[in-house]
Amino acid sequence: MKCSLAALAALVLLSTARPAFAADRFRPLDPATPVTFPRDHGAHDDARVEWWYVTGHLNDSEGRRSGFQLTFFRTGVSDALPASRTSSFAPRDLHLAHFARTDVDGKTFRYAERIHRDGPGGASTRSTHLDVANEDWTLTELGGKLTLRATDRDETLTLLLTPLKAPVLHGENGLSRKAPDPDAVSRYVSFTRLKAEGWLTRGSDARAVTGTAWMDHEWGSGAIGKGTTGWDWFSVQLEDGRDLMLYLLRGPDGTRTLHSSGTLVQKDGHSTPLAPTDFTVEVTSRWTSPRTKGVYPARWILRVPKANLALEVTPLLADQELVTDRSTRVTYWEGACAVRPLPGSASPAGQAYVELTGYAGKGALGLF
Amino acid sequence: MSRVAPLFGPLLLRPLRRDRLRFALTVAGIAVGVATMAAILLANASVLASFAATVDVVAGKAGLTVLADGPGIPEETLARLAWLRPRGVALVPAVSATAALEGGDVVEILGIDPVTDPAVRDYRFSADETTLRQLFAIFQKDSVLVPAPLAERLGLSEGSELGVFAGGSLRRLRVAGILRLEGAARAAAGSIVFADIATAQELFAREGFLDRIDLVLPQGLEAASRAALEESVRESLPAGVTVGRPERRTATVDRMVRSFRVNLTALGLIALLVGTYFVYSTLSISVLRRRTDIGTVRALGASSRAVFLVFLAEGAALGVLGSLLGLALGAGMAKAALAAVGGTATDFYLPQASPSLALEPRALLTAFLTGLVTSILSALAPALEAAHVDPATTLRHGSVEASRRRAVNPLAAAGVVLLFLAALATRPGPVGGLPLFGFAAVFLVVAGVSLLAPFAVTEAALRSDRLAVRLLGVEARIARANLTGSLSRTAVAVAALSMGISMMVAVAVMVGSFRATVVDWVSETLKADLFVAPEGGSRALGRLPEEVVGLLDRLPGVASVDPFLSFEATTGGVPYTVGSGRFAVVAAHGDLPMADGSDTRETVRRALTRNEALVSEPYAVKFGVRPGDLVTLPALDGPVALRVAGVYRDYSNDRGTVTVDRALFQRLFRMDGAKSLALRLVPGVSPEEARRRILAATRGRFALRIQTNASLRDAALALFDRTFAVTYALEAVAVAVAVLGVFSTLLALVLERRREIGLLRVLGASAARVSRAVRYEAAALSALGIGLGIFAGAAMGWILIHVVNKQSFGWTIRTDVPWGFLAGALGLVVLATLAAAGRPARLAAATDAAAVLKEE
Repeated sequence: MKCSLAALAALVLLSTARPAFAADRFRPLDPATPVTFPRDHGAHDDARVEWWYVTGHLNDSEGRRSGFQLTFFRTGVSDALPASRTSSFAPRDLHLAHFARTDVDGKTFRYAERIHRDGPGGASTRSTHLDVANEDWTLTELGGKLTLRATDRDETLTLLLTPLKAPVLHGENGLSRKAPDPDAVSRYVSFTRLKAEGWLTRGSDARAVTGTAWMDHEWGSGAIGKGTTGWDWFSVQLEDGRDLMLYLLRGPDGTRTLHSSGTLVQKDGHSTPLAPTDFTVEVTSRWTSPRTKGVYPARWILRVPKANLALEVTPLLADQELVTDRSTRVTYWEGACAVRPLPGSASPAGQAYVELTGYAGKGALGLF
Repeated sequence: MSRVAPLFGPLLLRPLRRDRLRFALTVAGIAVGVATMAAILLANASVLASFAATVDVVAGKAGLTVLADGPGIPEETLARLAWLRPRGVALVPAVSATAALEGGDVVEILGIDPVTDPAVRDYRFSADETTLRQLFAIFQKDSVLVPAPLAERLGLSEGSELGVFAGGSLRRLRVAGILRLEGAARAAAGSIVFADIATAQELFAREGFLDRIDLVLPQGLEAASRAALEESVRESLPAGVTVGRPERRTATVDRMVRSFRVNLTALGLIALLVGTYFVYSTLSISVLRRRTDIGTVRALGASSRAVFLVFLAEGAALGVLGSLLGLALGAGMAKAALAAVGGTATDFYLPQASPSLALEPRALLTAFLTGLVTSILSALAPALEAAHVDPATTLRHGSVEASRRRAVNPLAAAGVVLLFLAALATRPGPVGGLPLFGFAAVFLVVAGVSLLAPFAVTEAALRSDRLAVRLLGVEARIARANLTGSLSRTAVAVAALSMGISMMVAVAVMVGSFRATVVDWVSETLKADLFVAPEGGSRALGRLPEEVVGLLDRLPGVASVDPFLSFEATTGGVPYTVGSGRFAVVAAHGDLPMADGSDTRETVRRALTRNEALVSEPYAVKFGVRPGDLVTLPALDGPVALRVAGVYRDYSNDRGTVTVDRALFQRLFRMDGAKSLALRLVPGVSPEEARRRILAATRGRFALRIQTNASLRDAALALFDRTFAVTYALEAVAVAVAVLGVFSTLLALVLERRREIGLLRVLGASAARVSRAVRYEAAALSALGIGLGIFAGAAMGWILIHVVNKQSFGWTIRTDVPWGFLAGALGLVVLATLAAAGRPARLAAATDAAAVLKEE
């Protein structure tokens, strides 16, 4: 559901430009269209917004823990594909990207953001397979595995990601509802469990890291995120091999849940959608950002009775807030969290990434 | 001052009332000189200031800017510089062009990347909305942002259409937003339009190229690491692309306008010299006329120092008045000049579409102080003279003149020495590209001839005596006696007149020669039947697409096509032009005269077969290049050294041009299309017929301006004449001032000699004779002034043509004296001086002998 960042960014940045375009590029999602891989891991030029989102927990040989997030957004700026245009700068999409690292033991959180248009030295995507780049940040599929590379200042993260489960199609055949509006749907596909191996280097210091990552890929052209002020999204990887995705959309009053949904993925990769009635999310603690004064939920109890899950989710670091003034212009919290069984429950432990938007600034984005 | 103040009344104010006309003339004389100088300084300062402002505004927050020495920055350069981003450096690309709008306005078009551009430039919108969102509106193809004042002028609002001439046709762009006149919108004084970088590349056929990449450096970068960074950037740039501080282009432009400025300033100084001569003459005459008053105030106890200060104060007052008037006048002239010129001197790298007048304090102060100081200096001698008036001998008039006469020969000797020095000063070469010694020579000639004036007057009087008396009678004798008798006045008048005349002669000779040379050159080079260029504005802007070249090549009735293509380049900050044409066509027709008179066909054919270059004469002079030498061109794949096959004459571009064959040019610089095309027609096809065919073949697709040979020639000469109109006006003023000087001198002499004239009348001289004597004196003064003026003018003209022009522009100009013009102009001067003698003559004739005797 991280999704809507891109959608909202597109709304904010491009709303005046849009009406003048001839709409012959973007099409509503057709539920009948089958999702095929590896093609659908690549870019969808007929979707107005699209994003690839990788989060993960890593450990080095000395047991130091860290979390990372690497996101590539693509948002269409031109409703016509620039076939008739001769400039290599001919605008097609805006490409935004965020890269964040959480040093759990060092208690530091660092992030960087990028924004580019199509053009030399900027950003690119491919529609044949997964191959996205924003300057030297890349995410590529090679022989069924993914490679990821990103740098920020003196830090570089290079990972080889091996899917441990088949791609999961959320919702109905991958169609996931993102707002009360009926056409606010996106195609939502995830690798919920990827084995991560690679290097985390900082200056001359290079550490081999291993861990588990999660990748989301969503695309769509509808009014995604319309009428919402924010959302809470959870990706949980449990030690028993099950994975859990949950999201809650908050309405204009900022608190009431308008819509929520989820997916439970079995150890064998088999997934079942979760209806709003299938789970509850209880906030048990809050954290106030010293920067933005935003008050974020900071501990949750997740219950999925039919899966026998009662989990306590706790941020590994309180401050994992991103203020993305240069790219998406959205302030949000995206952080690595620990997952423990609620005392007395038989749930397994695990790890999670949580995304919280709409808590800082006015409304969801400050710009609305 | 308390002892000085009471003297102002009797010594200054009273005579001022009496001699209102002369004082007005004096003030006018200074004013004209100061105005000329102020106008030149202000016009230049304004061009530079607006250019610098534009450079500043466009560079915004950039700490370094990547620019091209050659035809453009290959856009892959952005990727080569990507390593800068992790170091916190923002890379902001832009494309720029100058284009004509449908209504005739000329604007700059800056193609920006709205994503990265806000890092370096500010955009504020009229509507109070999110700026980034509005900025992104230009992602839509052919959308532009327009500053509010320009939008108002053109009647544009959001959503309206803007017609722009680009790529040889009229393109309709959509106004996507109106910018407030803040930040980037202030560039080019608001005559700027912003488009998306892709739109700009496509409009101006600049795909693959950028015109600038601004680098925004991290804050708090130390000087040393900044320098290191700059060096690293330099190392990662492709050939022909440079990096440096954004303002370095200002220095290039400064260098470009410098020679222009210095030349005009020198002319202004000559005008000012004439003006200050006037101060000297007025004050000298004033001192002589007021000897009695001075004697009286001295007798009443005024110190000689007080008298000195009063006269100095008078000079200063005249200087202040004249200079202030001059500043106002000069500002007006500069404004008019800027409107006329429209910034042609800066026609590259984000040029100025319309520089506005900047009342730069330094320019104003320079002109004012020059006026004031020269006025005070020229008041010095008369003031000293006044201070030395002996109360006891004020009634004896001749004593001062006697001392003056003794100085005649030493002055003449000094004059000869100065002329000799002037001759020496023509020898050295330019100093820093400026003909400083040449100007020194001009001033030495002026000064030398002025010092010779008293000698000339006495000699003429001495030698003409017998002949004049025989021919013209006793009146001539009286006139002759007056000439030498009042040498201090007559010599000043002669010198002032000669100065005005010399300036007129020199400028006439120079401009006349230049014009004759250009006329010859135009007829030798403009030989094609038709000339085709993109439509839009009066300036040659933009480039026609390759399609037009092919179309004309295939057009029935067209025998040959010579497409001209060029770009502005710099080497070490010095600008020059790289041009191209079809050498085969040039070789066939030989319409490119060589500077050394060698055979054009032969030279061009050799250049074509051996891949050699031709350079224009200004280029050869500026860079010291001769046939056989190598010139290095900033080709896209790295510098290319070409041998110079020959030097051709070119009076159209003083930056200097390196010209290569079109095929070689296209290979080196990957540029196509043409800025203009010269067409030769098949015999029997009339230009009108060919013109019709071209229009028919391009209608609805390309907007072309097609000129016939005759109309282009006329346009070229009209442009020449317009450029030099200012100099004609300048010299007309100088001569008018000098003639008025003769008038005021004669008037003063007559008034002063009332006593003598009265005596003459008593002794039997008729009114007619007295009047004739004054007229003869006037004739003698003007003859002497004209004679000396022609001598000095000829010398100055020679210096201007062969030293000043050659050193500053590199043009060879054949001396061609405009005899007709000179004869006419000098005849007018004679008539004017004789007419000017009318009133003094009548005054002399009307002298009431009885009244004069009674006074005695």
